[in-house]
Amino acid sequence: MSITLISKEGAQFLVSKPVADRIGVVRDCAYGADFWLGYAVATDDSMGITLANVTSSILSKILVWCEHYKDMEPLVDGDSNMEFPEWDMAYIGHDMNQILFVLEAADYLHIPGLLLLACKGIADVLDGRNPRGICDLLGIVMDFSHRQEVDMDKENGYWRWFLHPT
Amino acid sequence: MRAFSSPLPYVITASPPVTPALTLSHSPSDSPLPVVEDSAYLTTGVTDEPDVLPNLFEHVLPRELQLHCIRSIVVVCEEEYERDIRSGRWTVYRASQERWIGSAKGHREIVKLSRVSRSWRSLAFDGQLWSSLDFSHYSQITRSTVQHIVSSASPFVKHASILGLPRLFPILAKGLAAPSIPQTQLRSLNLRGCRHISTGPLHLLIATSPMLETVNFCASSAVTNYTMNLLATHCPQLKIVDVTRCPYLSGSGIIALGSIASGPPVDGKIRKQSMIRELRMAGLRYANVDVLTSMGQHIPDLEVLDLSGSRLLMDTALEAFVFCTKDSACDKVALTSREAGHDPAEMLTHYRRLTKLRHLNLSSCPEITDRTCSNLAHAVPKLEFLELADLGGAMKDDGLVHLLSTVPHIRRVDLDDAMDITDRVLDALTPPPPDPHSAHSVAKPEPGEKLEHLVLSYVANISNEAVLRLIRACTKLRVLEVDNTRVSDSVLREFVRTVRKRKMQGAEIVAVDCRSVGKAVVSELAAHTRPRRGWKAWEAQAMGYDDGSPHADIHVSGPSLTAAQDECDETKIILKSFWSWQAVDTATALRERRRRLIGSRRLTEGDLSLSRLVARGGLDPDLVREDQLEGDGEERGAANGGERRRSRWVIRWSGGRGGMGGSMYIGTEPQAAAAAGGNNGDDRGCVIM
Repeated sequence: MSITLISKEGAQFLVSKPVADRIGVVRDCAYGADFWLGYAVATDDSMGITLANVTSSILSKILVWCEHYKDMEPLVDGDSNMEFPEWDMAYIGHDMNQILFVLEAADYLHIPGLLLLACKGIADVLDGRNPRGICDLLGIVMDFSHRQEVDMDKENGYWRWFLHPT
Repeated sequence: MRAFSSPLPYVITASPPVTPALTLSHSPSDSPLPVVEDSAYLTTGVTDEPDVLPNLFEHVLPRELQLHCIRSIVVVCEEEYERDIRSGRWTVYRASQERWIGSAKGHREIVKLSRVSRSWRSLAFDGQLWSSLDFSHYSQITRSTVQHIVSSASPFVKHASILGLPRLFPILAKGLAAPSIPQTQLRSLNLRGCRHISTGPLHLLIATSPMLETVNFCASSAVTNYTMNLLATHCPQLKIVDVTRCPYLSGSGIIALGSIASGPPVDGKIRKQSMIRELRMAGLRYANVDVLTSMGQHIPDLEVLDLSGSRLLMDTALEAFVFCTKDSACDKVALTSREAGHDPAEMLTHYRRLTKLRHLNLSSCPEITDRTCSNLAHAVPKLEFLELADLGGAMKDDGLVHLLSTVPHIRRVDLDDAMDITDRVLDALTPPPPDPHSAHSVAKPEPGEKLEHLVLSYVANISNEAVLRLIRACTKLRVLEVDNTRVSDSVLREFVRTVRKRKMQGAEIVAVDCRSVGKAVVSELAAHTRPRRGWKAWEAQAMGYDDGSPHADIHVSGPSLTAAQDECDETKIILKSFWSWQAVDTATALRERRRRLIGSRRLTEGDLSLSRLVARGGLDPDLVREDQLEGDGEERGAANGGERRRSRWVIRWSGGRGGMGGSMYIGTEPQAAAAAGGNNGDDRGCVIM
């Protein structure tokens, strides 16, 4: 059986049950209520679920992940093991904006495994950059006054050279 | 800002005109867009790239997700380190270059994020990220940084460790036991090595931490007997206590620790029992019969007991530890006089308390004799580690054999310096060969079947044959220390052969100062052994371990170590002897010389000819064995007098002149060295093989 997911723009994605099972919200909406109420689940392809906060490009990317993980046990919150570390890192990539939107959508759609992966992706991008580089990357304005910077340098002591945003 | 975070989106529609966000409905038949086919959805669909907002991280993500991302930095760093180790990319050279690895690197990166902006500063110092405070890696961290972290994290901290950093203790104690916090969440507290800290803040911290499970106050002068009172009163969950070498602690503190935790007896019976599993109190003053009696009554679940270095501990104290009568409520075992080690003619039944001890350390207790072993027989059936080092001639065969025959799960025995014991002890540890016809041997293991680590250093009376029998019969034996004994070459050969047959990792044999172990056997076994247990860490760089991998300065010609000496290969057996020590010295001298050459860039004639040879492709620079090292110190002028002195020392020691000793070359001689022609014409016999 299949389910149609409708993105923000209205694009429709036909997905099979094991793939849709990865998405917590869809699982709860499509099966949860009907199961608990004792009704049979609709078996035709015409059932549609609108995900109004997820754009088509992000939804298609998320569905790639769901397709890859469709045979795995769903992760529960707090679980941190990854089945395919190499594939995961190649999938999430280093495009910060895209990871951010995937993270936001994974939170919205309740996909703990993807949420974890996206957080790791962001951490991987942040790791090893100096503070100035992070500002440029994320469009952050350094809002410390000169005096605060001097104070922080003093506070950080020996680590000053490491922490200094240059 | 937190518009899309709920798992049920239809309750939080972003703005009024938007239709319900998630609907379960039949899609209209006149859909404007065609339904994408199952296999093709990955490539089709509207590709509408969202506008990139400035500072997307803070605008899009709620604070919990921002914190989750920052917390993931630690996970990413740990995984990266593990991946490097697994794939073999973590080499000694890298370890000497990268000090910060794993979670230590991750937490450092988080502190770095505090310099990005004000909002990131509040993120980086959010208490949720700092529930485990371990400052032991950061010896240079300033007090104000610690102050900042502790004050923001204090309600969250579960594990605190300031190992070796006593200057941080006032900040930690003040921050954690702040007046605004009635109780801390501390589960473990590690103050090891904080010698001179004040008692008051420590007591306040203990009194406000009811969930403490693990404390380590090793060598702290702040710990007094009253500290133990407080621990027993306020920390009912306490399981692991380490008060090793606390100078102001005495036996009465330990009595209080057990008896107060148990509470007062009701109707003469103890209702509650202390939960302590592990008690390490090496060097305790006044560890006498009263202390051990109290421990036996009030801390019955003790599994690890370290009493080493207790000068007043006597045999009667250990006897009192397992003492019980017929009417005692504890688990007990009834023994005949012979089983209890008494005169068989007595015809009495003796009772001993069955303890749960798994690790007992009585090393360096001058009053302890083998009578203690006899008294503990049958009372410690779960014993795995037994340490009786440095007891000298007081340790005799009878008691030891009696005890060892009743401990089937024994895994480690330390009998260092037990000079009077004989082969009978080894025979007691040697399990009989497995009998294929009897089934009960599976159910009940024999003593010695699980033996992994045996220390027999300075045990002068054991014979070579007994050690050989033990090596063959103990199938799990991994570490054998036989310093200054009568063992000979055959023990080394047999150990290496059996370990290789059993495919064990990290096996070790120590045979320093054994007169019967010759130079020949060490070089014979060189292909399967390594002289030291190398480890790859920033802290280990002073040891100069070699892992056989090429160094970064490989392009510089000069003397180099061969790849034959891989000290980090776990499949190789560590063989420590006088001769392998010499090999380490030789390697160190070679490395030092190479470093000097590279540093000064003053290549001598021989080095230049070598480099020319390398340039022609005739010689692998990492395979050059520097035979020239011997006897060429005077010719090759060192940079200054100190180095000249060192090189002369190398020559004197490396032999050929004194007629004995000689430099040790471990490993097969590289073919390339032979190709170097006249350079290795050194046939003075000081290089083995």
